[in-house]
Amino acid sequence: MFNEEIQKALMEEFFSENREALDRIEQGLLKLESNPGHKELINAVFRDMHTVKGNCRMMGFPRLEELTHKAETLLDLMRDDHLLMNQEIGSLLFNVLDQVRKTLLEIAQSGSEGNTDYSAIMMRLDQWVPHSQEKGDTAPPVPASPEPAAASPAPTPAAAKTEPTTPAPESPVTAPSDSDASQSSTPMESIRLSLSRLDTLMNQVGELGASFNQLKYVITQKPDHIDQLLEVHGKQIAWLQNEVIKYRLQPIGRIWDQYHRLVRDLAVAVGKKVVLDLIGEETEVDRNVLTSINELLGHLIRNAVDHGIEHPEERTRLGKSPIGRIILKAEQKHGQIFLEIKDDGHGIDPVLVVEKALSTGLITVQQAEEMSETEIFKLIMLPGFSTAKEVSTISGRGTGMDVVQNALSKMGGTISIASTLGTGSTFRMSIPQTMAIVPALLVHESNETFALPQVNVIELVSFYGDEIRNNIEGKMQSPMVRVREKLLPLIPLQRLLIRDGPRRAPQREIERLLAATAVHVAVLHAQEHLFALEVGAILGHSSLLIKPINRIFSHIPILAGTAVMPDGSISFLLNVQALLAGADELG
Amino acid sequence: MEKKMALIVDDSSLARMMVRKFFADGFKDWDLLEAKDGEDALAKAQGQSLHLALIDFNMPGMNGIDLAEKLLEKQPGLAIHLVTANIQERMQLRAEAIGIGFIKKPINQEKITAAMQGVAG
Amino acid sequence: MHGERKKMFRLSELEEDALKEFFNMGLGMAADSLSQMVQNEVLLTLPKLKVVPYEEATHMLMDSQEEKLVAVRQNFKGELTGTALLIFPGNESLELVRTLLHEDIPLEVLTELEQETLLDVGNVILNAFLESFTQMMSVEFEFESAEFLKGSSRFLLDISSHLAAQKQSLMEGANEDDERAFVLMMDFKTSDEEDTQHTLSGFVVLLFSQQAMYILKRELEVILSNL
Repeated sequence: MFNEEIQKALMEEFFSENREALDRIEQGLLKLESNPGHKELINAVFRDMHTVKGNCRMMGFPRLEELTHKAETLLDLMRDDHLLMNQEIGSLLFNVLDQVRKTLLEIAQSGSEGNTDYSAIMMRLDQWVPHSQEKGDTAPPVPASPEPAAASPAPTPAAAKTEPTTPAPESPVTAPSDSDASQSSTPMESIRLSLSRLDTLMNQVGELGASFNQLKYVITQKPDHIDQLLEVHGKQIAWLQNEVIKYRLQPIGRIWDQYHRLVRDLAVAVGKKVVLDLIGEETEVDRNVLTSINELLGHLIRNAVDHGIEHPEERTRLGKSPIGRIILKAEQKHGQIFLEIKDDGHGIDPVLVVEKALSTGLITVQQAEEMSETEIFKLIMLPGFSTAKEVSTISGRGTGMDVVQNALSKMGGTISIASTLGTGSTFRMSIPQTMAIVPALLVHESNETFALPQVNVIELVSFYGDEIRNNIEGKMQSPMVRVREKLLPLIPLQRLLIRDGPRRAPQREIERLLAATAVHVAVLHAQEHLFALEVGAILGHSSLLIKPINRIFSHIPILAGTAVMPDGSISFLLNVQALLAGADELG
Repeated sequence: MEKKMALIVDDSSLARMMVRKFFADGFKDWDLLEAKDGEDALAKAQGQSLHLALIDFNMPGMNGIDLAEKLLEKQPGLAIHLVTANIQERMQLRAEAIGIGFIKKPINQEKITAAMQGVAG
Repeated sequence: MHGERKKMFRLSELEEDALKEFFNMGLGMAADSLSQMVQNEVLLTLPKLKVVPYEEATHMLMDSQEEKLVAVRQNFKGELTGTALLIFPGNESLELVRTLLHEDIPLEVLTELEQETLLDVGNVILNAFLESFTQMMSVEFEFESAEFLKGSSRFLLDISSHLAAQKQSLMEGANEDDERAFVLMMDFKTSDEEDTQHTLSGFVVLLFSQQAMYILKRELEVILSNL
């Protein structure tokens, strides 16, 4: 019986076999580029392409079958020495690979191969493969027939229908959970654990079991020993947490390797010369964020090559080396990952950025006058700015910088931009190293509990009675607080929590604070800025398991994640950077 | 006809001799400049107008890609090919990203002819 | 008589350079084959080449390595007759197998796979070396099947054991003193699943009969004079 179970197993086989074959094709193509005539390599690549085509036919994906068939025909020509591998063919075949992978992902998610337009890539394939090209066909290519498809050896959908298998229904195929996973071919679904590490883990779990039994005994028999045992128990659990978090860490170099290929492909495509230097490949990052990091670094590298680095002729004219340089650096400090990507291209022109922001109404003239250069560069991260069409020529950055901003916010990360016109740009980002369990400060506000990442907390201060009047004041209509002789902006959390309703006028906010009997603040830092967050109450510290934010709330920038509280209830982890930005917006 | 100039860099004298022979046999309108490593190559290329550079990847001191970068700084349009028996994938991609071609050892007449197609002029 | 010949035999600097270049090209092919076999990038380089009497080869190996060595041995006969050995320090060979197979394999299983894997690796590499002779020179010879050996450097280089293995094919009058060895240091570069690069050094030793050495030298002279 051909039931769902079998269909599912077939699909799993389909995906894994194709994945392996495509990986091998990629390796083979890379080697072929330096060794174009290598028979065995061509044969191996051809066989794998043939396998993929066969699989697509068997599972009933006629469009993918047609694409891979074309690629196979091209490889066949190379096999018979009618064609020699060159950079153009290489790039084309890499394009085919990317396209096939993308469609396979779509199949995994939706069960159908969709209707992505292959016509451009098919046309490029056809340039190398004459329509009449089929084994044994010696007739010269038919001159432009009005229906070229008729001469094409690719099966028509009608032919595909005669295949015994029906197209996959809404099959329960396990799809990659993250839709962004298409960017990376690195499998993130499973990890490898050395036996010795597993043994250590088993031992520790064994001891945990033993101390649990002891605890059970003590609770009934010797209640006065409980504290001592609980402490032991707590330590064991903390050790386990630490150990398991380590399993989640991965050297960032694992995703960096593909950037050489990315840079090479882009450079070849746009005719630029670019060197990519990687520093700190051994830096360990939570595997959860690897995909997001990959997404944003990929975006920044792409932008640097496309829009930052100039063409060799222009660089030579400017007295620069014809080779542009992109330096990607990672390091780990104080539980944060610092990423830096630096190019020696033409940099961002702050004057043009401001002009653009003014003309699209993103900022007012007055705001523009008060902005520092750093703030101006940050404008390019705004969604409104980066969708502007001519942005790439103005800022030296492409569209979609808000993608970078979003990816960072999701991870609780921050970014700063430095740029010198004519010399290049530097993007510096910081991201928490571990995402799973975050040491946090719990605070209470407007009947809710919120968590603040401990890494952002400098100190906690409470003011009572006269202390309030002595240390809190209004400056330029904004509340400020004096902590250790320093005047810091005071941001009331409750003000940020009001999303649509009416807010107090700033002056009223100051009055409220001055009239209070107690004011509790947490001094926080976001990148280089210090500020004080006013909260209803400070509850204490806890290590929290953080989960990605639910889709319903994902548009609220100040929320960084969902935290499971010690009592099992759910609260929100706040994004400190966004708190500061939010306060700026409210004025 | 104006003679063209090719730079050959290889720490193996045999490898250089082989290339020299191919040029002597088939490409008489070329002058050759030979160097045994990166430093040597940079010194000899000083002030010369090159059309083609064939560079070994594995050499003592500077590797072939580093040398290629330096040569390109001096002469941006120069056609450069790495001649190598064995190279890491990431090095290959790195070289391609700055527009360097590859020739797999052992070198022969056809491979040199192919490399010459990228020569300007 | 043969003391005289012994002195006479010496490769010129150019001849040594030529041999090294041949070997390098052969190694490139070996690395390609290995990379395909293990589906992981393998890079082979040849930092050192020495031609020494076999006694000295034993000392070189003993000086730089501990007693426990593993080796793959391949005898060849024909116009060139001799023995080729790929030698690793015993403990490192397991590491090599581990990174080549790209997997976390328990030690017990690894030991079982060690012999099999190293034989394959040795086969590919040694054949590449020997084939670089046939490709460049007009000499022909056949390989015997490869063997796996474990022991001290003295044991591995023990001439009489090699002689025994190819007794029939050796020219009469061959004498231990006449044997020459090429000692080549070879670096393997591989990366593991975390993309960490590993480098491991091994030795390739080529033992040639005296006659083979002279053929080799003659062939090299021919090649170089044609350039």
